[in-house]
Amino acid sequence: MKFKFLNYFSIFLIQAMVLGQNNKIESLDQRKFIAWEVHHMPYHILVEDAIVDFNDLNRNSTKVDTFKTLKPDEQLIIVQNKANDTQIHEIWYGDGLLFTIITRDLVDWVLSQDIQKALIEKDQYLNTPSETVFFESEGERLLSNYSSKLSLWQQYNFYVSHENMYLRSNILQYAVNFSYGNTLIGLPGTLFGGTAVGVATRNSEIGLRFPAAFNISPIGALDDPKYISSNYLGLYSKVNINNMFSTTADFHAQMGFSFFPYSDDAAVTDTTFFKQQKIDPEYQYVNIVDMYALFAASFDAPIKLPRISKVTLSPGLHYLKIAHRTWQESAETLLNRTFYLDDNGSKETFMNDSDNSKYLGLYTRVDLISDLGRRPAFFDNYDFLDFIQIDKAPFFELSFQFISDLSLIRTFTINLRDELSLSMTHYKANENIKGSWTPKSNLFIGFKYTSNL
Amino acid sequence: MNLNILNKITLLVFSTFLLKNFTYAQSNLISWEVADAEVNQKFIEAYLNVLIKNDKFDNNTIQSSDVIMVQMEKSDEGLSMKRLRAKNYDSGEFRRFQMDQVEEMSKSMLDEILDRKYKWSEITRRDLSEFESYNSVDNILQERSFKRARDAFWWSTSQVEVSPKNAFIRQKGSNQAFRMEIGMPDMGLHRQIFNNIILGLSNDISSTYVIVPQISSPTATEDSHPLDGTFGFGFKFDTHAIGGNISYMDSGNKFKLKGVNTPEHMVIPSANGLLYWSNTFGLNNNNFITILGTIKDLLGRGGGEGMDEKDFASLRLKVGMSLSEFIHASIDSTIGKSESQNLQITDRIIGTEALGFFVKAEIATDDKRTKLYGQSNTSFGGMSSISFGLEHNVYKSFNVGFDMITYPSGSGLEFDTKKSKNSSWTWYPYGEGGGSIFAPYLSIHF
Repeated sequence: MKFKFLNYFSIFLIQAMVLGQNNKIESLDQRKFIAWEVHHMPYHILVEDAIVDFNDLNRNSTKVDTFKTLKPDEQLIIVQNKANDTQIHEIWYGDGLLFTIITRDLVDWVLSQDIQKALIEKDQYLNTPSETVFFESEGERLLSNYSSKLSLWQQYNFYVSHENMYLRSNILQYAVNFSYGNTLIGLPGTLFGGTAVGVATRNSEIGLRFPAAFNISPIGALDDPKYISSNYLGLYSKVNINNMFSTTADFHAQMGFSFFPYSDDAAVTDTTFFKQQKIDPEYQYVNIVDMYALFAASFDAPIKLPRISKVTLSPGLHYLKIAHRTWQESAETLLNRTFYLDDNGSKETFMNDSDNSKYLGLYTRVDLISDLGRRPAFFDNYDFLDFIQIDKAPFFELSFQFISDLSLIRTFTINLRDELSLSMTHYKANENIKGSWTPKSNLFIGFKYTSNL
Repeated sequence: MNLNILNKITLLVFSTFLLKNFTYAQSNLISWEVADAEVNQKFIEAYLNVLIKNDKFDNNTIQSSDVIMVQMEKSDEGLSMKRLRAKNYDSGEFRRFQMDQVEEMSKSMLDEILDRKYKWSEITRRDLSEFESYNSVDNILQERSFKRARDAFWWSTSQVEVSPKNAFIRQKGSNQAFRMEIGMPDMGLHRQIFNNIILGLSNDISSTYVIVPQISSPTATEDSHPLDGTFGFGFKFDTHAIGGNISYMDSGNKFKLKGVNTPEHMVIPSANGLLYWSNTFGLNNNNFITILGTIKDLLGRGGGEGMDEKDFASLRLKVGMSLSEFIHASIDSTIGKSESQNLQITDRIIGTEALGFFVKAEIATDDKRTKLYGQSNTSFGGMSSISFGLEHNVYKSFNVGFDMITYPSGSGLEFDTKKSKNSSWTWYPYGEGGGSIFAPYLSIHF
């Protein structure tokens, strides 16, 4: 009996030590250390193999713990003491939320001197500075890594939502992103005007805008032919620059445009043309996203609010150009159109008799998230609410996005589980928008499911 | 079945079986060299003491200054020691331990060596042949990091770099920089035909920029003229395997007569994108020995056997597809030169004609003193260009270089122009007959 107790106690202690080593995270002083993330895959593989070998050699050792294996898609961060640039201080690796640390005294045991020398020479391979090791608590790290709305790289390698489907490779540091809506640029749901399919890295994304629209949201279908057309091919790209000039602010930019045919025939200037040419109502008022661009900086605001763990502000500039056209099916020509009908059915012309509308506006976005892993206490009084169980996700998220002259979008999200959330997005267009290419307001019901495949 | 074929198949199956077993065996081996001098000395001295004690020292060749090499084998039963050697670095000789004497040493002493809780090093490929195995780590460490070649072209190895082609200012100890570039060389729109300035904010991987129009100097021939441009945005990024570029210039902007070359025929690359795949290779003397040998064989002389195979440069190959929308437009040439006016667009190249191919080879030497490139751009619309460039450090911070850009005969884009007398008009970047531009330059690096 005594032997059994000691056995169990030892196992408990070892497990506690292993868990402690893997999860206990101490922050480092940014003035004393530098850290960078390794993006050179051959070096990533070397460290993966070295950890496996170290574990094999110490499988039966009671003196040293084995390490969690480093997965191909996990972050690998090298930490160096500024006072000693000849050796690695620590090695951090993990999925962005949970990290394993190989401390200084173990670095020499796990990695050969040759591999350490190669990793220290950071000018010789691709890497990016990392802030991960400098957060003061695990909570801060969890918060900072809780998917930023402007982030291109997700913590999970799969997610599907009413606007995106994201698949990240388990082997390569690339992902494929399908977008059939883009609330960030003020074009939620099918207002986005197509489906964007692109390849994403940690800091960039580039791809094609395909002429196909999907509406996955159960409510909020936009089927008026005057709304943004989804019939034209285009290109798009997104770029992130993290910790811009060591200010802790992240820069985010994205742009996209469509290729559509041009006609130098006379522009359509009133509805008589529709009658004369028997233009199908579906093709009379065609509106196309000619180009969109967003430049924003995002930073955590030092604002303390009850039940809110983080407030992120994202100010920036936004540009949108909508081309107004009429499709003459008989001639297979896309004609410029300089007029629209207002709410009363009266003919109005676009500014300067132009065939397009341009919106250059200020962009303001505020994201608030509640405490991670905490649901309201009164939920415990109701058994039927037990299905709401969260550990790493906030119970609710609120977003306000205002683009001057264009739209106000408010989103409320509830996380039912760490991996499942439901959202409600209210879209309200600016009253001065001309041409009816967008609904005046709309409600989108959305969802998001994340998983690690 | 023919007996020969049967034999070949048997041989193939047998070889595959052997190769598979060999590979499997290799992946189950862990080999290292003890890099901690204290551990080395302590173990060997303890071993020598056992030899003395058992009167076996006469057969010994191992010295306390030797370096211990260990090889462990993984199996279902666990780990076991496969080989233990000592290497004398002065003579390069490998010496075997008397294993019956090692077994007589204290178990903790041997465990200390086998547990590898000390500084250790990889065993080089050559030394591993002593263990009848090979070392993939050695290969990976020698694998070319694409960064060397990439820094020379996409990024910079200097904090400040200024040339007529570009300017680059990087913060010390940071991976963020301001960059200025003229033209869009990756799209085949070199600065000699497209003088727009790109002003951007970059980090190691991505760059975002604004495009600022600038009037281009007229090209040499009468039947050619440079491209026009206007304000726009763009992004580009580059990782070890893929990279790309996307840019847009708003043709709805106002234009002034004084800012364009030929008001009746303006050509603007209004929107374009590029996505490429890339890989980096090491260039060693052997590549050149082969070439040199072939040349010398042809000339009836000996080859370059005296050269070793050490890598001295990185070669990066990029292959990709581009999509470029070109607009043909005009503005009224009768009104005031400073008066703003809208473009009268007459045609735009989209669809299949806008598709193109991009191939580029970039070479940067390890000493960072020389870089060269060759590039080809071809589009289904008929526009193509070939370029070659070389830059070399001549003195401290000064580099000299040149670009040689060739537009083949007939390279151009045909636009429909219903408003002109002819129904079509072709833009030739360097005339219908084509031609080459030689552009030497001086570059300063700090």
